[in-house]
Amino acid sequence: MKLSTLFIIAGLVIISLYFMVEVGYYATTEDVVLNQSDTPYLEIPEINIDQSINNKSIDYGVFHEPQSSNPGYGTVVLAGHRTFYSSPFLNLDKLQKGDKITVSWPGIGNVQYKVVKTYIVQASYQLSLEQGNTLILYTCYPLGSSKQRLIIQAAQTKITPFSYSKAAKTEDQSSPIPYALLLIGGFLGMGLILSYLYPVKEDKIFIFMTVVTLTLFLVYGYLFPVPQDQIASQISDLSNLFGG
Amino acid sequence: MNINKVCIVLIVLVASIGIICANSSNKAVYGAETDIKPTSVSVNMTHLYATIHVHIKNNNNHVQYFKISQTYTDHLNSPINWQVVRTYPEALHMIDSVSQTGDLGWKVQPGQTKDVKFTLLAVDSSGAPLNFNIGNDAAVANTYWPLIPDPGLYASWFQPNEIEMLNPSLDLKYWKGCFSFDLKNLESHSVSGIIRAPVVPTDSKLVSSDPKATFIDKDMVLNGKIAAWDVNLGSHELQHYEYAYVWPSSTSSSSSTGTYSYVPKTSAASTTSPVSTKQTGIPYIPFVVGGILVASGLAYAGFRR
Repeated sequence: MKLSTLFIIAGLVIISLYFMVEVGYYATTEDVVLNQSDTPYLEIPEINIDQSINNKSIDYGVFHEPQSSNPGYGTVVLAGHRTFYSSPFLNLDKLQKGDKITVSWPGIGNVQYKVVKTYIVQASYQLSLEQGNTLILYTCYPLGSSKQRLIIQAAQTKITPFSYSKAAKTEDQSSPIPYALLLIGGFLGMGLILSYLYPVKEDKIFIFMTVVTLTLFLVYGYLFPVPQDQIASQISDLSNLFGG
Repeated sequence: MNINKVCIVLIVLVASIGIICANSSNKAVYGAETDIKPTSVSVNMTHLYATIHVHIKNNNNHVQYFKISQTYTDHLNSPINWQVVRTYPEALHMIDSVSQTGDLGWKVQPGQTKDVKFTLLAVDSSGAPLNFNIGNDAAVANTYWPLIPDPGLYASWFQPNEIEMLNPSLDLKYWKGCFSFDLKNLESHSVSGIIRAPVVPTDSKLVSSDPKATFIDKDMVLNGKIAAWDVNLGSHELQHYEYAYVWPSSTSSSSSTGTYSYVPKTSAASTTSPVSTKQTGIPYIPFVVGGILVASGLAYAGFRR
């Protein structure tokens, strides 16, 4: 087996870990929202966020820190991934002072906030839960790293009667797109093209077998989703190994 | 033997072993015991009562109401409703109620800790005491496999301190739930099996059970310690069961299973300690390295040709 073949196999294995995270995410999120009528939503028009909030895990989208308060009753803390897991807070750094945020919370209402401050802290930062009627949004900083946190602080302005956001109404009616299967198909397709284009004819079979094996792992991850935080932690370890 | 063939065999072998091991380790974690499955409806569960005793504090600077509803709906294999049959001290009727028969509540003055008790009876949709048939058809279609019980009795769970999340002004100081139910064998032959407590509070401690629970199942619900009895009922025999839980559990433990049922830890309204920020991103560096490895492998192979 050529050295170049080993390079490609190693690269495919690393890339497949990222695919596994996304496949696991899309395979499990459809089970999280069990009762649509009880689901709160976060709406930030400036950065096109209109997404459901869950209290199960940050790995399922926008996560409400259970130790923080409900909107209207004190400090609300929401977190979201900036990369992968559908990246709900990808563009959080684009929020500016004065931008409006709405949290639609069944039983409470549509609680509106205005951004008052954005700042960056170390990952070990401890968030205070005694900041009055404030909304705290946080995500990783910079993009593609988990060393720091970007924090957005918004002050409550008013509460209006509850109504569902556009996304909530749409999600209620539409059938989910099978993103997980599309990802698996994409990985298989790219891998097959790679093995076809590989110039070392006698080693093509190794690339092909690796692609098929990793695709089977992705299918397994789709059918029996593994805890995504474990894979994420392995990726972080790899990142540290590479000096990230 | 051709070295290429050896490598192919090794790759397939490692992949197969990986899949098999992962699958078998899951089974080892969840591993439930095998129970006797009745071939027909044979046991009825009736007279399911819950007596709840709470000490609730108003942390706000104005008056609050600790409210309870006539409508607490949950499922065994059919919907059950909880009817309030007794309150102490006598509860007030609330203006804004979620149940058609009206909600009840107690006034709690600013800074006051109120001591209240109420008793609930599980009833069916017609208002009659729930008569729950434990049979094969009771198995719940559920994707969360650890929650599928045997022999078909669903262990319903809840968080005693949920009131603090619904109304942060109220601080739950103490919670005790005493539950009782009857089991009756309708068959003319004896039946045996494991019966789990039908209602279980999470993050709580089992303080008493009569008859004594055979074991405590910690794996069905995260932070839930479910009392379970090894039951043997003679022909047409009726047995009475009682059990009590106290919240919070002094020894809160987490289970390795039930990761989809996230249950917050004890969080009193007065708990305002800071929280850590969670990891909210996956580093790109390994992805970039993976891409570079593939690209450099391709380039190197092309160059060597």
